[in-house]
Amino acid sequence: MKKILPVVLAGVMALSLTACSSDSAEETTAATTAAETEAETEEETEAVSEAASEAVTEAVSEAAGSGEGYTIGFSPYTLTNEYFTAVLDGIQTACDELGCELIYFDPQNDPTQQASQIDDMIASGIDALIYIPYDSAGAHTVLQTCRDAGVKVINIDNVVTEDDYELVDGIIASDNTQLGYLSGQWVAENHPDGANILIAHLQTAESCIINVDGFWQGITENTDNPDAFVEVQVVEGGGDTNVTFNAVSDALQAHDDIDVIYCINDTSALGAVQAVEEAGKTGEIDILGKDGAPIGKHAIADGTMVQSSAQRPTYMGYTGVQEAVALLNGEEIEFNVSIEAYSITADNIGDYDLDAWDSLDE
Amino acid sequence: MESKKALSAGNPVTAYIKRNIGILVGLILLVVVVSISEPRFFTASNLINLLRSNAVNAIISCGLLLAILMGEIDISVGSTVGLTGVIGAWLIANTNLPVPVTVLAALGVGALIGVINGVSISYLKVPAFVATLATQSLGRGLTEIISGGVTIRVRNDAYTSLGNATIGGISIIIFYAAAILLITWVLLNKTKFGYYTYALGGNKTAAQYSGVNVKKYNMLPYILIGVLCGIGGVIWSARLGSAAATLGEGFEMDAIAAVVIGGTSMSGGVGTVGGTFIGILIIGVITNGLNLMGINSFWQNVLKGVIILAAVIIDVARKNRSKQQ
Repeated sequence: MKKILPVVLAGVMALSLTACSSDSAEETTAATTAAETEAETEEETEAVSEAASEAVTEAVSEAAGSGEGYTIGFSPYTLTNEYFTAVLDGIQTACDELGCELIYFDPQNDPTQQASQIDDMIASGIDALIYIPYDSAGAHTVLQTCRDAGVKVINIDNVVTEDDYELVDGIIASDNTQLGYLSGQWVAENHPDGANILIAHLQTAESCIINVDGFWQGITENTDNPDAFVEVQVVEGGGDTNVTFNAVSDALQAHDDIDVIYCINDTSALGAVQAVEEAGKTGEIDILGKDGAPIGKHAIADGTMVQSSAQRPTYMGYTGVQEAVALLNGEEIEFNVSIEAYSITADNIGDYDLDAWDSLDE
Repeated sequence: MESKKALSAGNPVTAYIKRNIGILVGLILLVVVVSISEPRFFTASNLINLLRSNAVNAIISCGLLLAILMGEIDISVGSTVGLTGVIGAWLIANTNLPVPVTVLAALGVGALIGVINGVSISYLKVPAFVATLATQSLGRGLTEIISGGVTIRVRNDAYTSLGNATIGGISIIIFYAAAILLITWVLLNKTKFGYYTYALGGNKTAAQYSGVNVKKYNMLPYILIGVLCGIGGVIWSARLGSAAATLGEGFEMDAIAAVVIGGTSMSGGVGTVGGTFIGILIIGVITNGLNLMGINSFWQNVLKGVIILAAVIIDVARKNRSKQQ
């Protein structure tokens, strides 16, 4: 034990060292002027076809091209998850089109790092922040700092608590209940006689808890016989392929009557697909995912997954910047925008680009 | 070194049972409790499933055993599994390299991480915890850069069969794990390499005075660990048909737990492959058994923590007792 103490101490010191130095990591700025003229004409045609999301687009068609000189900050949970990189894609596209400068850091799923990185962004002079708070209940201080510094905040994806609504300037989020509901509806419609259901959960995420509630709501509201739908087991898949793989493998050992596996994202659904295949039950069990990620769409096209309720991360990031710029130009925006989810199944998979998350048109 | 003598003396089976009596009783108790509350536990298909789920942990644990026997540690293994897995998947998805070359490249990268660890620790005298903390961060960062934060899909039957093939209905990765456990046992018990590994952990200064090339034999195990991680990375990416930047996160914890529960002393010199094997099974039975019983995974973590703590307390108590004698 004597030997190990200094080693551990040294380790702790090294940890604190890296914690101090990581702030300077990975700053990316982008300002495009070349794309601007092109962008303006694109904006106009888009504005015509996008009559559906009127409030947002209208504000932007007026504001198009006038985002020049603004600096936009972006703070997600992490940039190692493809959902958030898709949000970043949308943000980058909008900034390029509008001529804004973009600054972002990777908080690596750490709310304390996220807070200090946002402080750094404010210090470097951002005009607006596109904010996905890792800890929605703990966002108050960050929001107050932004308000004090005169920085506009568009809160996207993970919504802050209602008490903090007055500190944000706009909210754009997916409807988590509806995302689950669409999957539940699919199950009710395709298993009219009922089903034994396994849930591969991520129990630490509030949005996933709402997804799963929505899933059951989607079943009970679309069947005459809700009692025939049984929750066999809930396993913790961590939202991760290999964790879900192991957990589902074990659950398949415990129950040989599973008809449906609902996974809270496509990444974990991939693990369920493999576990079902190795258990020799391919085709007997319907696997549903969530997000409409490229990997999920490929799996639906391959026939290994049956349904995925799609989110629109790219569009969310894109409209986030549009709203921010509109606000900075003194325009009115819709305060709380809920982005419609849609159901991707084998029947309509041909309509989508398998390799992209979501498109900006529609 | 004393452990080696104990192992080779007398009937190997009785010696094995005698050596590991505490954890064997623990494992049997665990199996009995789980079997009674969930009869499906003790079926052939679940036992195969159990071994399959823990095969990669077994491979990584063999590596960790080497490090801990030397009185060192390696916390970079999980990120090396991720890095090599993503490199394997990336090469298959983006190049036309033949599968064997891809596998060699992944193992090579694992070995390279091992060289960095080994050189830092044995030649540059960086404490193992810090050196491998650095490579952990380095490896994870590279994994994220290569994958671009996106799950890489692998659609190549020759590659995926490396993880999915079965022999006589039993998953091939169980055979990999068995082979690696056996090779590690031979290395530790029948070769100079193993003798020195124990010697370094028992008393490094004494080993040096008796003419052991301490630096070399302190480094070699790390290269081996890197290669083992490469094998783990290839297996996972092949088996899942995909690799994400999060692959391998936390693998070091299960491997360290298996080695420590298996009776290996954290200060080095004492520990066996046989004990580690039981440690792997204990970790495996906890996860599998509680999953089968439908118990929340948060409790699995609590239980694992309690068992690791118990194992370390027993180790310390045993050492204090032998000191007093």
